[in-house]
Amino acid sequence: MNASLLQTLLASFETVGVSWELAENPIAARLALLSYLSELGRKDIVAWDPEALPLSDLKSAMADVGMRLHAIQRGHLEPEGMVGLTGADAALADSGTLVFVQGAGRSWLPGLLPLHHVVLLPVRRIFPDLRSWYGAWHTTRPQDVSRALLVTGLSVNDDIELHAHHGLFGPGRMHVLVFEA
Amino acid sequence: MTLADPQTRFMFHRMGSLAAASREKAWAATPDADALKARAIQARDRVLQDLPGHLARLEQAVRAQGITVVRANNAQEANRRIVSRLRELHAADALRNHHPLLDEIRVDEAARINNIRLTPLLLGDFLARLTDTHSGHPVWPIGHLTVERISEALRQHWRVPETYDPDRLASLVRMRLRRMLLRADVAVMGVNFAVVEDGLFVFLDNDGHNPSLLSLARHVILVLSIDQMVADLEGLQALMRVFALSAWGRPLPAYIAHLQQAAPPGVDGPQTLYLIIVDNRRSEIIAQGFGQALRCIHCGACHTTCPVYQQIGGEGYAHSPYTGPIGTVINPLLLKPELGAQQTFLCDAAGLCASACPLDIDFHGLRQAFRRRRAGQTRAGEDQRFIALWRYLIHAPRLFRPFWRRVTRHPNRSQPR
Repeated sequence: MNASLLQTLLASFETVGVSWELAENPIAARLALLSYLSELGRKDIVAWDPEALPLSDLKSAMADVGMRLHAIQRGHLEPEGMVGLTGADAALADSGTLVFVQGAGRSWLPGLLPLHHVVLLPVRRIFPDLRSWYGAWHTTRPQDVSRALLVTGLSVNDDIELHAHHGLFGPGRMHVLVFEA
Repeated sequence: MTLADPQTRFMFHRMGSLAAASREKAWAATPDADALKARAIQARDRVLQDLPGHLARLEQAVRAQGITVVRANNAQEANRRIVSRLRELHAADALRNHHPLLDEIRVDEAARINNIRLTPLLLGDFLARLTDTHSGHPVWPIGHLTVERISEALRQHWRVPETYDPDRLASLVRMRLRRMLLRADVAVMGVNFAVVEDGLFVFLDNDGHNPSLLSLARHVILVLSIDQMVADLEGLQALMRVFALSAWGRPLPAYIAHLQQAAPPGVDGPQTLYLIIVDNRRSEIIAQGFGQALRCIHCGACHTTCPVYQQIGGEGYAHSPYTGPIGTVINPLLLKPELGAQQTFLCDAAGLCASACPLDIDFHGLRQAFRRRRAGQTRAGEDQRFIALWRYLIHAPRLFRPFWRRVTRHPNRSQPR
């Protein structure tokens, strides 16, 4: 892993208003995640399918501390008060952009509907910039994952007097847990 | 609320100066600014120089992905297609995104006439409709309204508590919009860019209304103007960066949503996609030599510097969604001649628009060319009509004699009785 690429990414996250935490391995990452969610005091988490998350055994680890992972079910859930938990398919170091490719069990919605989004990012998924990620995506993407969402910072709307209001249709807070996988 | 109101004029100036300051700061922090602009111009011109070829390739790529594609030559045809598709889907309610093409074809009106409620999801568009006023700016539809005016409108319509806090006001509207969003079944969405080589549709925003619609709506009607194609991902990157820098003063939009095909079973997203490709005089504009006007990506940079727009707001542009300097260039070509021709004179020749435009549109040159062509057309038309009348009269002596007496009569000379 290129350390300068990681440093660039973390600096970019700060520029775009995204908080981060670095973990040395998946075990440390799992502990850091549980600790972060406990501090928030939230028990119900809307998330990708546990199999699609880049940390294994999360569901049982969370159940041990009384937390529950939910899938977003259309029409049955108002996830606004919950925390969204997803992985990220890539991160672009120069802009602090996170990439989410929609697929089975990997909806964009846990990263859009809750006001607070927590992202799990293995360091090997960091690309220098948009061009390098597009290059890789263009040659490898399979047809069934053709929907990619690039998110740079928080949801912001400045329609009213050009005042920046965060969290309109996306989250007003984002936290990225970066870990060595 | 009129432009005679000093506060409204102040708000137009405020919007312009804040937007210009953030744009200039963002471009100054972009190390490859000149090269980026050059790539973006090249990407636009590449498509505009071979529109039919790119259109054919895009259609082929999109059809291969199982998407229904139809073409609409004008706004009426586009609306007919949209309404007919909405009826097929039994949609009495639908949501739409923020896009200048949807305003250009007046899809809201077409839906309303057909008893379909089409609600804009962007907070600014929603409030513009509620207050029945629009700034005409492509990025900030209500940038000219004060919090007091917005608060008053919300109290009138929804009987909400009085507040002048922009965050509180945004939250009040957000609650309504989210309720609609969570029930969304059908969406009408203008496409920001379509990538020809991949048959890929791209949507840009900062608040996430586009990806939310693309996740929750089960049926999406995509509306694309033929000039908003880009050949490849290389060109797309340049255009997205230029748009974000010039429109919002940031290096990239907060949300870039890509869509290539309908969602397979078990995946969120639209189950059906229906693409309407709209020409609405664009081919004609290119054929007449005014293609450079279509380089516009509607970033609004020219508005924020234009002294005329800041004085007259969006009301002076013949009810076109294209206002400001780009309106004075596009409207003469898009609107009926009697409305469009006057638009070229909404300019005080300050030249600030050209320096603000990231795609180097020669506003002044295009306006001049249009005026010259119009003057030539008018003269030629009058000459032709006169010759036709002359030919007719010289073969009809009973009509010719009184005509001749009349046209040769000197106004200051007494006539023989």
